[in-house]
Amino acid sequence: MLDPSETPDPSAEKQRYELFVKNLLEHEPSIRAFLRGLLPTWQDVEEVTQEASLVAWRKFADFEEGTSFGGWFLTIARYEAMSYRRRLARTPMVFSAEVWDLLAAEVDEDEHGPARRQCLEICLQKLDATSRELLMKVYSPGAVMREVAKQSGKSEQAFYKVVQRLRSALLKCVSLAMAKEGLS
Amino acid sequence: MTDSNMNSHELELLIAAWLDGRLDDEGSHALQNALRTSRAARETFRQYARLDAALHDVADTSAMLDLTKLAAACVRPSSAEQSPTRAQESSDTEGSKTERRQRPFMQQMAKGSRVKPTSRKPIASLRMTPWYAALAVGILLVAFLIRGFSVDEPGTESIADLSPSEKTINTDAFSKVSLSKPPAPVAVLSSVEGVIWADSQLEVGHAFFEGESIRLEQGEARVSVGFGAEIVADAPCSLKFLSSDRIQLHDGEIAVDVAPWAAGFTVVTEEMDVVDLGTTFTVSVEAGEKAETTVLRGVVRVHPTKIEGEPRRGLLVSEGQRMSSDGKGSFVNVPQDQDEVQKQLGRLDFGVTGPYRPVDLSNTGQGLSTGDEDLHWQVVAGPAGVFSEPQYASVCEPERGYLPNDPDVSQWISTADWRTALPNAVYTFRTEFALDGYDLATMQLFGRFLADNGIESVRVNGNPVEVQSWVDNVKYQAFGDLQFRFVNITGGLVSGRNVVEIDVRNGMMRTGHVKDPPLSPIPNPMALRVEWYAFGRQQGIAQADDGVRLWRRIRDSVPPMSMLSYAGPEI
Repeated sequence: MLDPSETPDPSAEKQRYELFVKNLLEHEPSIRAFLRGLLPTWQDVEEVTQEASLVAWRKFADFEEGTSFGGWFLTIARYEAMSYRRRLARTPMVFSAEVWDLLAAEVDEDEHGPARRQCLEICLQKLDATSRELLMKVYSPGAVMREVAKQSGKSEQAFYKVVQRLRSALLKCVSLAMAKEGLS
Repeated sequence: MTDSNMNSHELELLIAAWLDGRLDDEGSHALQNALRTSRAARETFRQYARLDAALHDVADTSAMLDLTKLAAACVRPSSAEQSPTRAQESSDTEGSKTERRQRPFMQQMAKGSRVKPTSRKPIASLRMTPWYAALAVGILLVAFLIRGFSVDEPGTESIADLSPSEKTINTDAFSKVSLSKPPAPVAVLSSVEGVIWADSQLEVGHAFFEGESIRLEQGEARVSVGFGAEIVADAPCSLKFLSSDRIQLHDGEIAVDVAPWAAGFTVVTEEMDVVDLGTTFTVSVEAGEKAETTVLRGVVRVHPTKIEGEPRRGLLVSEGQRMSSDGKGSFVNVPQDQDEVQKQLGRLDFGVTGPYRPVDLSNTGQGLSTGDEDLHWQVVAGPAGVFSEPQYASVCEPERGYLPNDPDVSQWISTADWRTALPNAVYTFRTEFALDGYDLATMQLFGRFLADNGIESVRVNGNPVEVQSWVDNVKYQAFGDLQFRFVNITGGLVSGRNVVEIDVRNGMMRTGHVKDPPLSPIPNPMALRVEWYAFGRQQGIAQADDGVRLWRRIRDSVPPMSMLSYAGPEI
């Protein structure tokens, strides 16, 4: 609830919001990529991203303009992910604390994220239409992989192999494209 | 299995199993052991994680484009028998094995506290509507209440009816490309003599689009390419329009007369590409046998395409010479009888009007870098109170869901504060171009427009152009190839300076992770992208030709249905 005695300046609020959203739009993809390397599912990634975003907004007054929003946001996301991990059930998909710490500690702000995304789109365009559609089905929101496998007419094992081969080819293509651009 | 004896293939399989949510205890132990002991393994793991995240982003965008939504729906279980999603298959937080959470951020904002899980997350969550949009609603509503603002009723905008269609080019694996941008008109049928077409009967004036194929069974036909080439085709002949400056000859013989401004026009065959250097030439192909080109005037450059293992070559063929391939990679340059060449030249009728000539118009952001102001485009008007003065439009970094920028062709442009443009507002973009030496009666001007959220109106020299306005603002809205629309400008052009003004309407934003997210009047991105296709015949020549108004027939034409699976330019 707002305290009536503390009437906010609407234009200042709007400017503050615009700055925050601008930064968030820019850095959210790299945060999701970072979290994907820690959390077992995309669903988990989305949840932690949203939680981290909310925390970032609440703490935005502490953010010093001119410093790296990406680094600041990454730190928040790292803490939120750690907190989230404690709530995860112990399954083979959840890494031990030691592995988790190693993975989390080695990640910096991914400054080449937008370039990587562009390279990926170019590489996807180079895939044959069937393969590309298959990947898009697998990664489409809410898709169930074994159902996609069933639809493809392949056995689950064969299907997983196809998907992995495509991912591997894409990774090579993206790495090559990034290297050509002098990025890595 | 230990890290010391795990090769990269084994590591990648384990990573794949983890990404797919099917890693068992043994695999988990092996993967974690590798990650614990090898920095290289961790780097590989990170690369795959980044790729996985990026693929999710791209797929989200595709879902917005509606390309895969139906496909995904086909494999999605019904609500009554919802099985875990790919994301859910392998992980659940303690205490919520089956219940997925949706966080109502508005409530969190209002209460400043964490909200308990309340509902099952929809299978297809709405990635298009980030949480901060809801946050923004909260902030702005507070601001509006304090200032006594009234908010427009949502839902007053027209919602565009999308009709996605994807065209696939089938070539070799990993050189296939998926095209979805509406093909542009590139040529027109100028004259025919005793023709029978293989499929449908084409009339003089028929417009040919990128990717369209034709087969002439009998007779002779003349085709005018907007880029600046006249083509005479003798039956039997089969060819395809690859792009504005490339055609592919499958079989048969054609003669090509290329204008000086259209140097580089290329005839592609199985055996060789014939690149014009300002000339008249013939190309013939015997299907599966050989290809040859005879230069009647000027010079062409021939690029053999089937010589493997050798460096690329470009062979010059001069006037009066014939370059032949034997279908096996050997090329022979044979001088021709000059009288015969002259006779052949005399028999060819390329028309008396001269070829079309492209108009020099600037696509948005062409050749520029992100952040650069575009000399050729200005934003000259915007909503009162927000828009201060005319400014050069600058190249934007594409928003998620936007078609990626292509500096060689076109890029998104907008105002400096484009991400927070006023909703329910119109911004006017302006560009200028010169029409000198053109017969205005033959002019044809096409704009391929893409706008967030749509186009309200277009004017040429102050006169309205007949445009059916549109606003793209549906659930999962994206601004990709499929949202390009053609605007055909046929009237109002004058000799000399011409001004085109485009009113871009910025709509409201859909907010909230719900099935039918409401439209909210919060600042949101606004940008424009335009690719021009403009041709006309040279003044003084065109008057003599009965076909000078042929291009007009392109108006309101749409790509033929037969092109939905056309083969197009190789990449």
